[in-house]
Amino acid sequence: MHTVIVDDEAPARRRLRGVLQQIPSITRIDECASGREAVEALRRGTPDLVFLDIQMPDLDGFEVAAAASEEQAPAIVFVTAYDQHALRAFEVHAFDYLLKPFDDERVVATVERAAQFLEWIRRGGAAAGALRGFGDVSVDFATHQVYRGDRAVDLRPKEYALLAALLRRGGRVASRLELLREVWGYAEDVMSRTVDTHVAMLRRKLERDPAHPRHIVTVRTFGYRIER
Amino acid sequence: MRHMQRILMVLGAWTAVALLFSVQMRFQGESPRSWAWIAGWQLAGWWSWAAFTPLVTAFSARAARLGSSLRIVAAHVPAALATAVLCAAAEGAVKWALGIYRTTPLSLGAGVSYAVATYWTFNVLIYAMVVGLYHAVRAARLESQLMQARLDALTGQLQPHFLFNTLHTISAFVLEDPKQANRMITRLSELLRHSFSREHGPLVTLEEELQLLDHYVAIQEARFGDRLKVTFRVDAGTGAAAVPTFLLQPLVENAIRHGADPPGGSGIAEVEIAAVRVGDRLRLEVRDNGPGIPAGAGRNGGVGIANTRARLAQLYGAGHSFALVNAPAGKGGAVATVEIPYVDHAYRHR
Repeated sequence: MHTVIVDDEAPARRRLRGVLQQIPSITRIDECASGREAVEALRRGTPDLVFLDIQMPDLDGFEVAAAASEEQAPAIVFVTAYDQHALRAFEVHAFDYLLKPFDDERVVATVERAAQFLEWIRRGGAAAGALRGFGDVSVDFATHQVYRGDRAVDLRPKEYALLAALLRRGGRVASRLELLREVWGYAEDVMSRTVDTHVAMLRRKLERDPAHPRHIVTVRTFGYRIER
Repeated sequence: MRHMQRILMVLGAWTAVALLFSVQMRFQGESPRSWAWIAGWQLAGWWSWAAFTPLVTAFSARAARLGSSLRIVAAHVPAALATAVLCAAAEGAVKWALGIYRTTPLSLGAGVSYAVATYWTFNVLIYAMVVGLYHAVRAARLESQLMQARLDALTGQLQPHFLFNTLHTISAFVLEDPKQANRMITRLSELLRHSFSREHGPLVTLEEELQLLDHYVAIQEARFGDRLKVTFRVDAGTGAAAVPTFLLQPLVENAIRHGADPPGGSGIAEVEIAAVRVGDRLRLEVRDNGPGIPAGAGRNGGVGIANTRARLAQLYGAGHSFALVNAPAGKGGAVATVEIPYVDHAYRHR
């Protein structure tokens, strides 16, 4: 994977480079010290994965993300000291965020998920069909059947629609509001508990340990995503 | 919109009073008048007061700045008499125009003078009540502003993002340069120790403030390396001056953030911190070489800067000045200038 690190602080770039260098799937690491350099880099090359600082003097991370090309959009991971910014990151369809300071394991996990996400995109992503499953769960989109191993699981229509909506994102985060609109057709965030209770039902039916879900993951105060 | 809201609120309040008096009027005496007549009679009086209320509160606001309560009361006496008479006259004129006097007087003059003679004493009391309410609301608002300023001053000393960014930089140095990591931890600890300390009051000596600032600047220099150059230009003999603690840090933070993108592409943010004594005033300046404040944009709106303003206002009132402006043409960047009375900190504590 071709990655770019964008941060106006040299030590912060070195910190991330130090971790990324140890991940075999990463084949190339570029660095940008400003927002403008990053926009340049995004225009010139087609990186797979961009680690993007948010607060920079010239262009901030959100402006840089907006300049990324739509056809060959890289997976963007915002890197920030503000957790409020992290939530905004998902609104602009970032792949993930890292809160400074972070530990190495968190970075490695993010890169692994990004690799899976990019592979899914390469195979056609949402256009060719959603993720087919996770863990021991598989979904047949033609018949709307869901299996755990070879045993069929009985899902109610809304539960199935919610699962499909999450799978369609291939591991990217969906906000509660997006899910409410997509699955329930609500225009407003009127009863966000609806999403939560249905997610709880899905976990009971599909997770090995519903109290500690591994695949249907909560993104604190924002929404949910699927992890394979 | 807020203006409209206020007008509706005042009108609503006086209408409620009119309703109260109407109910009382309807149920007193043997042969009560019709509701329509009563409503006209009462509203003529109380809506006159609604019209005069903005004048009374505006005058109260001016009078409140006179300082001593004796002078405030003295200013209100003639205003009360004048308002009482004028308001009663207005009431009389409206009642005459509506033709609702019981003993239908012949002329407008007779209607007006009847109302003035009957109501002026009562109106003086209403005037006192309006002024009293104005002062009660004002006191409550001042109290809440003061609380907010204190809260901001307490929580705004070090921004959490600065702490997290610094920890992140330290985590980068831990492996590659443990000595530098150690130095940064020491600097950060000094800043935190001062932040958490309850020993010092709102004021410290300029020397102490500059020491704190030195820790802050050293951390920022470690983060940004060659891209940041900070210089201090402090007049000898100003070290003992009393300054608000953490006054300069938000200004320097602002200068670093906005100065970090200098025009011309040198990529080096230059920040100069200066302290000068000018007569009985202490002038503090933080200057950067950034692109300056864009026309119409609000670099004044930052949380740190708003905090600084509020704290200066609370500590010095009219005795300070604070400006954040573009440097004179050719010099580039922005300058934040604070002027406060020069007071020897040791002297102040004696």
